[in-house]
Amino acid sequence: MKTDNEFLYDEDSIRDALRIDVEAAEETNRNILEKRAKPGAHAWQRILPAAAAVGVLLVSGIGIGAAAAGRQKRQVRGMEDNRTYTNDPNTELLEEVSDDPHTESVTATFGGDGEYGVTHRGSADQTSIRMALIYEVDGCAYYLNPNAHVKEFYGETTEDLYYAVRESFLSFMRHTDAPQEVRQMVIEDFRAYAAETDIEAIRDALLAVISDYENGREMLIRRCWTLGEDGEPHVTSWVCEDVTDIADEHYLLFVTGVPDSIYGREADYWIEICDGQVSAINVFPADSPEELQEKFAGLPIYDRRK
Amino acid sequence: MTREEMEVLIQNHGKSVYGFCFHLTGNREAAEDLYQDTMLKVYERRFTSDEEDGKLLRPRNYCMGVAVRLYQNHRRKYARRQELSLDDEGNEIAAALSAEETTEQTVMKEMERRKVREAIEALPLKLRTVLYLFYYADIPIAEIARVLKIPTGTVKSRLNTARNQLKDRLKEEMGGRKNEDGQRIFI
Repeated sequence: MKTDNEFLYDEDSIRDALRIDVEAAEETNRNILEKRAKPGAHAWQRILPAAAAVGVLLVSGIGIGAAAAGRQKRQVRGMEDNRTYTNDPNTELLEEVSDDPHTESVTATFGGDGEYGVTHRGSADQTSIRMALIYEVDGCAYYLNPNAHVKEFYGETTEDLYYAVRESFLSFMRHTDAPQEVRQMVIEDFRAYAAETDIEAIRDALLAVISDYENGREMLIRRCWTLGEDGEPHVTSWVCEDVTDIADEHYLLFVTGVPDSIYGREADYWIEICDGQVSAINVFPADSPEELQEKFAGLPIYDRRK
Repeated sequence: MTREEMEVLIQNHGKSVYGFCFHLTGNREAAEDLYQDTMLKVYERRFTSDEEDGKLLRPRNYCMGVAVRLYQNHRRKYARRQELSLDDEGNEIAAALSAEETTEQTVMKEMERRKVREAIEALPLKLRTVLYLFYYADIPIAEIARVLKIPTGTVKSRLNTARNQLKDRLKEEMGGRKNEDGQRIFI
């Protein structure tokens, strides 16, 4: 007879513990075949296409503006606004881009490095521009642009939407020097936003990120990139993981000076290698190898800086 | 997907998918909801991936992937309405026990199973999910990565973390007492 955890814990024990013999009710299977939704709620009816979700985001975004009346806040509607309200060293970059005759729109948003840069340009789709919010406090401008990230997930699932909203919120909260007053405005806006939307996934995402933030739950937000044929990194997915999620089979390769096509400058990356394959390239310029080493507690990090 | 195809899907994989929903939600009522939502979504879906000639290549795994995403997106809806009720289904589990075991052995084994299940239940969702897919559904790591749309390495690391946390929890559970020297006594 097993008497301690060493006996209890083995793979067969796990398999054994999870072995169940249960079946759905016949009525449930009949409902499925008849395409009958249970009363009250059904995901297949309520999960809207991403396009619709983005549409509601836009409408809600405008609502946020109304909810936050009396506050100095604007929605960006054009390149001039970007220029007018930026106080960031990247201003030059924005102006340079705006001179491009092929550029129809420019959106600046905060990146994981705490600076804002151009995330969308030359697009006929103006949604990200319209959605960007600016918080002005003491003559400084702070941007929050959830839709810029949501747009990355056009056609994807609501789970992606959740990550997108969370990424945007947390990147703003964690990496900017926005004063507490602005942070509080963002939280209020997200709450107002959650109250207005009737899309459960968005509401849940907004409330969850606020809760995570207020409870001090630290998440590492990884932008996963892959190298394209042009040698440039391209965003392929956004993943929120606990820092503890990186295990032994991962290696981190720290490099700097990689041309960053998004931010238009050289950046630092840490590259995640699993089983000999590059699985992700992450831009995380704020971290030195020493800081990464500390974060990932003993993982080998190969420093390839120039 | 046609009605006939859905009937075949339910016939071949319904039980397995439902069991998976049961593990995710922890009770029958929520499992019924999640299972129905999952299958309806699959029924409605026009497949763009994981299909060949309009047919799903791995229907069971695909359904489980849909179930995971639905559960993640609507967790509040499927919130655990009661503590783990697998024990309520205990008869079905106990039925798997060997007829040759003594009553005491049977009881002890079931207690062990319960402890392991409870330890798994206490894991964070993303760790539990990988564990269920690997140990309950017997899906290989590379396939889990595809189903969950995460890198293979992440699946491995989650499995590894889940196993370690499970071990720690069981150790804590089984070795709560310490002697005068502070050494843990297993009981």
